[in-house]
Amino acid sequence: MLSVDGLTTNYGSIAAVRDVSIHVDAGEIVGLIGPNGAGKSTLLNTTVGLLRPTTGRVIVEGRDVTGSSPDTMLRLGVALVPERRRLFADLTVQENLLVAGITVSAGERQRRLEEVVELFPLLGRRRDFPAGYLSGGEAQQLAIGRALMSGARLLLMDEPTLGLAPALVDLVFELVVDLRSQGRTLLVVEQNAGRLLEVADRAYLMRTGSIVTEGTGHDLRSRHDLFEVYLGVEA
Amino acid sequence: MTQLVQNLVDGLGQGSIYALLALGLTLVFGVMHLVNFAHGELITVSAYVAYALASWGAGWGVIAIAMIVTSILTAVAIEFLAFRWVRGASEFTMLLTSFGVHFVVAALFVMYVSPRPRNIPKPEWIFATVRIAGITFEVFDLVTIAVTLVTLVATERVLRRTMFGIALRAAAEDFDAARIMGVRSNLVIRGAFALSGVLAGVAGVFWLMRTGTASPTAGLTPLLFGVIAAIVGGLGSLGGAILGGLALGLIQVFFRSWLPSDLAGLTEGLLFVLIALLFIVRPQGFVTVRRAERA
Amino acid sequence: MRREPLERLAVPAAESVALFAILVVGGLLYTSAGGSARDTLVSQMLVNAIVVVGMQVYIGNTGILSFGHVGFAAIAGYAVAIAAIDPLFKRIFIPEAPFGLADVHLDPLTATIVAVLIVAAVAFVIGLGLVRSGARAGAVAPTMITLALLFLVYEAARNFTELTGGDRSGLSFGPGNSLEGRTWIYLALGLSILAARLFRETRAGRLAQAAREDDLAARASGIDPAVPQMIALLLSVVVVAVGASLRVQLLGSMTPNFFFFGYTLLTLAMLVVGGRKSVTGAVLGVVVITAGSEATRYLASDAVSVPGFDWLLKEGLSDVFLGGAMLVFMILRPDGLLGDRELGDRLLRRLRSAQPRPEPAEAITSGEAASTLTVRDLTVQFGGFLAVHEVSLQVHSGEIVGLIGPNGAGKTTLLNALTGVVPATAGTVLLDDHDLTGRPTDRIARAGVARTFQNFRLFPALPLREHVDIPEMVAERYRHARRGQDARGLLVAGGLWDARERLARELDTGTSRRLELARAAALAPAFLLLDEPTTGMNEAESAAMIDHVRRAAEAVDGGVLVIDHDLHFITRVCDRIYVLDQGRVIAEGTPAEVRADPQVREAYLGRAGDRSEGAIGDAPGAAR
Repeated sequence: MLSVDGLTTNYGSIAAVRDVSIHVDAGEIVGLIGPNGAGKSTLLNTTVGLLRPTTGRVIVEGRDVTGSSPDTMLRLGVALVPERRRLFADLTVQENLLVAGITVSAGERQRRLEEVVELFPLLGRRRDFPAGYLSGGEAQQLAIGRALMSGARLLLMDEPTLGLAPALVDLVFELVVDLRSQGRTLLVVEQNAGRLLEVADRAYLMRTGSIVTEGTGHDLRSRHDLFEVYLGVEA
Repeated sequence: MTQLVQNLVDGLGQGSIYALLALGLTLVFGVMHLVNFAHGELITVSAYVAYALASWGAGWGVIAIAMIVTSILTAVAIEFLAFRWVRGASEFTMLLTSFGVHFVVAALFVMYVSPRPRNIPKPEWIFATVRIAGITFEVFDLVTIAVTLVTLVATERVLRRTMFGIALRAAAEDFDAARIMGVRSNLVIRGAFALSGVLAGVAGVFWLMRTGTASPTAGLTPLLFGVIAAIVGGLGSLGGAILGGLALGLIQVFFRSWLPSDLAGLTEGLLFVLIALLFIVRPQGFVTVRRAERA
Repeated sequence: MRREPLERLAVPAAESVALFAILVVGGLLYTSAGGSARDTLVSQMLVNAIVVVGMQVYIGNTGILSFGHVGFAAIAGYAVAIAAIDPLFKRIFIPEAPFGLADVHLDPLTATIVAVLIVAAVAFVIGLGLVRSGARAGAVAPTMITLALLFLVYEAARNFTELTGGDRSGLSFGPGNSLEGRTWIYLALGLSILAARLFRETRAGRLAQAAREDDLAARASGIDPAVPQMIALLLSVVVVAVGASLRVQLLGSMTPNFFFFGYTLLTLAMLVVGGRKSVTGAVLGVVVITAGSEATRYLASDAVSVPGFDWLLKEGLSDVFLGGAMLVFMILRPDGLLGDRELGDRLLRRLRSAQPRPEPAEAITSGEAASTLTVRDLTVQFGGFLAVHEVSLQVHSGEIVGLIGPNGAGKTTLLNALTGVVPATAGTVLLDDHDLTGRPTDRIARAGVARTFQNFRLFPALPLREHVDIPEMVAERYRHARRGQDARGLLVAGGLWDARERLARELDTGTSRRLELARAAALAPAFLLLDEPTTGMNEAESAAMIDHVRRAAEAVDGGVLVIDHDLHFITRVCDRIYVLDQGRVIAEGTPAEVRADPQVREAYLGRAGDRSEGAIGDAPGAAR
């Protein structure tokens, strides 16, 4: 569904991503783990066209879409749930959802809005609330709801559990599994590697801009030296 | 008492014009972080269009519509020709770019029309007065306030009810996040300029009715008051811009009525002193935009 | 000043002489072709050059866009006109001038001095206002304040007709040019160029430039931008006032429109086209704009007629040229033709490249007394979100202490609160028994706490050398523990010596981070706080950084608190480590202890099973 081929992105003068290749097949949950500063967010941001890669290609369903703008990527069915959610705090919950549906027709937008509200009843009750007043869990639901508004089939989630209480972390992972069972594909970036590996089919481990290792979620999880590999300390 | 109420209405009438300009400036600032000192050119250009129409004998109804259309087109044209190229540049660069636009437009009118002001006959009714509850009001003030109110309500509708408005507000809050959601930069930036053009067009009609002159620098004074109102209102805050504009109009009128007559000419000067003091005391303006800070 | 006086002063001085000579000789050559019009034009250009060079001192060095300089010029113009015009004429224009000013008759020099003093006094008051408004490069408030000044002076000049003659008559010196030849213009021009050029090399000039490049980084290097900005403003308006006085005397009259929008456009165009950051640029801009504007004026005059171009060659063309030049340069080349280059840069670089390489810095502070940095119950709250929650920690001199934790744990916020970048909600920060809580960033830096930034903040347009020279200059004044050793040794130690004349914006990540470390160490602090010194580095650079941090710690003979996510780096460089998660310290100990702590594992890799609620992230406001 998505493949990233030899991607390098310079962020200012920092080469945040160096020659990274990954692929995500339809219906998979793929994890991307690694410490802070590894370049995970940069990789996602480059994939959806927020940043321009220096070299490399981004391919969605066989089409080379390198350098396309985020709205083009959304039309192709690839949506990003950004780090720290980036809700529009002054906009209401409903407005947050509507703006995320800007790439689809008005009728479609209304239909999706109802779908999302059905999926997250909590949001339905807070429709006319400014998003700035939502609690952490509600905020994350809204962030994911926004990504669904575009009708995306591939969701790129950047640290969806950041700053959430443990109970809410569970909720997010349940949601990830739910979304997959509805036929969506997910690429999830997490620091919370342990939990992610429980639900991921496959995962990549990134450190200092490169993929260090990859494997099935189960394989990586059972590696006793994961912590050391993760943080770059020799066992 | 009577005097007070009259001044109040006069000030609100004056302030309405500033509020419309400030709102447009703040909308543009929201999406581009540009304090657009070329905003006055919208009034300048449309004032000349009004002059041309008036000299062909057009009535004020036609003139008003033509001014608003001109103002929108000018706003979009300026964005396309100048500001498009400095998106994301430093504040210094953007400020000077907008000044450059101002100077070029003013000079073009010197070249192709005349350095001297052109007069446009003011409509008769603006001198009319009406007595309500024993107090005499200028009809012009009342009409200005009413039309401004209608314009503001309509703007509010656009911002709250249309997809464009929601996208604009989203982009003003977090431009990149809006892009992630699929909002196109060109759409919101050009849209913001166009909307600011509508508002400046309405403001320009009333400004022109009051002054009756089109000159190469016709837009300068209203621009300055608009900018000041927008900054006093906390740049980026829509409600703040409106309040800032109204406050400025009131202060101006009260200054004029309280100052001894030989100092009345200094109204603008004293206003600038006051403004300078405001910026010194509260450089961020008086309406602080509420934003939860990020860790 | 202490070092390399020859290059620092002699080359710029020679440069100023050369610039002056070029202007004078060029002017004379042009005039020699004859015509009094040419003569006047050159005189005007030279006077404009004085004003523009004066503006460069402030706008160029501080990066603050001022529209008030022409307002200051107007004040000076009126002061000179009122003081120096023969009472004979004044009785015609302003018979009712207050305070018996109609009878005052000073000679031009004294009048100019009076004008300069008045302008300086006004500028001082305005300058205090600018400081209060938080003036920094690119801010809008100072632009508005100075614009307000311009309009105020204009309105006042139009309305106080008994003093100024207002719009209609203005003030006139009477027949004849009150300036005898160009002697005074030459003298003033030469001194102005020299003053402006040397100002760039003075302490105040360099501090102002550092703040222009990065206000926060300058403050974190112990610089309070208010003082150098004020000095720049005063010098700047003095030069502008001299230029304005000469302009009024040259033209023989003064009206409100003399120094208003038109002149603002002219001088700003001159300043930005050549390059506002350099004196050479300002002078070049004056020449280019004068030539262009004269050429367009000539083309637009009735004297010229090009068939088919009548539509273009009309009155107003020269203003289109000025505004257009400003616009085109802002869009295509916002730093002007020269950027920040000066005439003598190449010579200076050659002289400097011959400098002997200093010893690598080993000790730039004496370890007089060991000290301790104590954080007690520090809490930082944003809205309802507790970013840092009752954190206590200590760093002693001689130690390297790590601060780790997952993304969003509050590490950077803690560092920001420690250095006064964000306000602490509760708790205290002590340097020994010296309370630093709530003090401004520059005072904390001067007290001996230097820092680096997560996305490094250098002074992009300054050479590497200045990055250690400037904090060293600050340290000489405020860090008494500092020992005489050359801070440039830090460049050598950081492997940066050979690149010392390059500009910081040209550097790659690894080098930038090493430079930022050197800059912090050059302040001779008691404590170094490093925010992610290895982010964006590859493994080899990251490994080398271990050594750099150790050496910097030894050089300043102090303690280090370092945030990093790279445990490989942290465990090797640190003696002790604090682990932060969700705003709290969850573990503390030696690297080995911390690594073995299951809580730390959990914080990084996630929890194995369900745990109780610790609803920090669930607070309202955490949504963003």
